[in-house]
Amino acid sequence: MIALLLLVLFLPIILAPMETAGWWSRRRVSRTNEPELSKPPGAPPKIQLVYFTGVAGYSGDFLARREKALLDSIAEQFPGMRVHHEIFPYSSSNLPLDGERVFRKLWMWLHNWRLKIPNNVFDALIVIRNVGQLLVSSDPRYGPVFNEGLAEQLRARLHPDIPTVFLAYSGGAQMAVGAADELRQVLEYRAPLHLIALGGVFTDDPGIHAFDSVTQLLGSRDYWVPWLGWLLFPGLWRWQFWSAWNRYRRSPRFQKVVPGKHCHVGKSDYFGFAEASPGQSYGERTSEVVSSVIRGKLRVS
Amino acid sequence: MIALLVCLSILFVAGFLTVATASFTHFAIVGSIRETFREFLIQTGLFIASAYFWAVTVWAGVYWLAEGVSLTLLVEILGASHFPLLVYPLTIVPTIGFRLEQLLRLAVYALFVSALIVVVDMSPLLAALVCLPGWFFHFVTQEARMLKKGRR
Repeated sequence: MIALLLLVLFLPIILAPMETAGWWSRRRVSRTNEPELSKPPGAPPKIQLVYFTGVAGYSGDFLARREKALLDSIAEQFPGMRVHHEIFPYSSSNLPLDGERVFRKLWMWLHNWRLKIPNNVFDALIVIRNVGQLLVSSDPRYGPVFNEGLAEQLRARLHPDIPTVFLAYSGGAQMAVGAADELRQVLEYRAPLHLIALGGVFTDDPGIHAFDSVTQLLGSRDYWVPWLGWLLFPGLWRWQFWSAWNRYRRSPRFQKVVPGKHCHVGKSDYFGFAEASPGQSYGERTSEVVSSVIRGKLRVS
Repeated sequence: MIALLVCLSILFVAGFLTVATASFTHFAIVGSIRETFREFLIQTGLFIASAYFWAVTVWAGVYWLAEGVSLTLLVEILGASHFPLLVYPLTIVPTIGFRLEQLLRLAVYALFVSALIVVVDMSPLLAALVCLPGWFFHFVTQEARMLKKGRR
């Protein structure tokens, strides 16, 4: 019984590469008819911010109220900033969980259930599914294909000459690392790229070197989720001093900031409405720190 | 004779499973089922050929360094050493499978070296050195073929 339960739980991880394989085979067929990617229409923004949600994400279009509040608060401080949150980072083709999928109804049911009762036990299925895609992105065999898909989605939306800041929560950090590497290498994206990770789960993906800077915001009560990445990826272990991650971590391009007593999930997480200090919520504190990091990195007021 | 057949069967099945799994993990599968199967058989043939080449390099090394050993015996050992690759399909699991892939390749090497130490009565260091070039060629050529057929 336990073995069966484990199999059901791990099935989304075992089958995770299938989605990328399917996308890749379809893309290989249609590649010859593909139009050239052009600059997005409209006046270029001053800064571009790409938001990648955590492993509990459901689609690019759907964001929790707390996440929206954080993004709005950051955007308010930078007139001319264009925010992109419409990309679902856990799919190489930006296909949301309620898109044309075999298990569409299951995901929709789970999502509706989540809206009624937040953080219920069935949430774990969505999390496991997305963790599977995170592992695909960080795998040296599947990763380049998955990340190329994600990078193409980004390139269709981002202005190639404008600095881009990735704001990634939890597992979204690895997806940003994978996509940035492909943006740089395959799609020859030259504008500065910065990553601000909120409790980011990193892997030993060498793509981290594609970023001009990486800032890890880690609350003093947020330890076990980022630690999971450390457990699974030996390249994060300190004694592997030659690994891509350790070389980047030692460089001045990497910065670790403790914004406060944030935890990873809950009322006092990076988006939390709970009071962190008199008159300031955890989300507001995050927004303040993120904005100051953006100002420092891009030298904008 | 039966031992040789059993060991060659292990080598063939291990080669086929390795090639089929690696074709998937490197996104190298194209065409119809028939074409794919034919491609798998060709790749398996190349896998067995490079394994045979490995046995020949070891045979030449042993002949030069110590007493001669029968090539048939080495092929038997080689076939049996590929036993760990029978679980190669498990390497499709992302990330964890990649680590497993490396471990399985190392296991094949370790098994072949251990068997050689017992059969030829060589020093462990010498046996490890004699087996290294062939093992490297065996897996590197396979990886290179997959990468060429896959995305990069």
